[in-house]
Amino acid sequence: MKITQNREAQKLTIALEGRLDTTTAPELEGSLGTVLKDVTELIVDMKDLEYISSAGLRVILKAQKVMFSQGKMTVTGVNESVMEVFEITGFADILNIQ
Amino acid sequence: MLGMLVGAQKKRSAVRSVRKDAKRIRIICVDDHRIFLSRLLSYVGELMPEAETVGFENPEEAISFAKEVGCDILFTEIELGGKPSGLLLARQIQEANPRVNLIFTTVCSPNEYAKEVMEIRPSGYLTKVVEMGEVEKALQSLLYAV
Repeated sequence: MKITQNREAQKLTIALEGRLDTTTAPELEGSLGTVLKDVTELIVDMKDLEYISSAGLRVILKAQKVMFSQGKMTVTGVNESVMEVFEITGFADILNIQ
Repeated sequence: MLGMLVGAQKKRSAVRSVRKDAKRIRIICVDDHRIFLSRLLSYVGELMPEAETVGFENPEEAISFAKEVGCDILFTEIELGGKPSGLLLARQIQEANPRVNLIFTTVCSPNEYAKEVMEIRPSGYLTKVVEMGEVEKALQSLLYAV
């Protein structure tokens, strides 16, 4: 998986490309653990995300919990298969998806 | 069975119902995301239909309830409302009943609060998204008999 970060002041955009699964989720979790400090707006761009597993969902939920207390988080570009996972798991009701 | 009870408004009716049968196993589930709480209550209700299972989104309500009527098994998220309130909740319920079975159902990776979790010595640690099979295994390997 490829993770691209773009920061403008307190706004951070993270673009995910490939598969977010048991193997790659720790990498994203590690990145988020250090870069979210002082971020008030987080955008997670999923337009090139092909697949998300339970491990990936946990990391996204963790980010959502962090941002709940310090700003807002938006998920964009969700494809059909990832959206299906969000709907089945209930994440569609938790995340702000645009 | 009480079924799903969430929030302060239904707390009093829950207390009254539990008192009718003091020998029933009492299970408290806490999560600040209603959808996960509802799902967990559904799993537990199916796996242990004989138990009194009550859910709370607010940990303070859960503590009050547990102190008033008791708790044999507590399922809780660690991070509630942006703070690790689930750890405090677990400790307080454990102080009231040292033989309570604590099961974390959490977004936190196992190493995030490893020291605190080890001190609490839970029966189980399940990372989200929690599936029914994991809840079943956790209920089959409780530290203390219920």
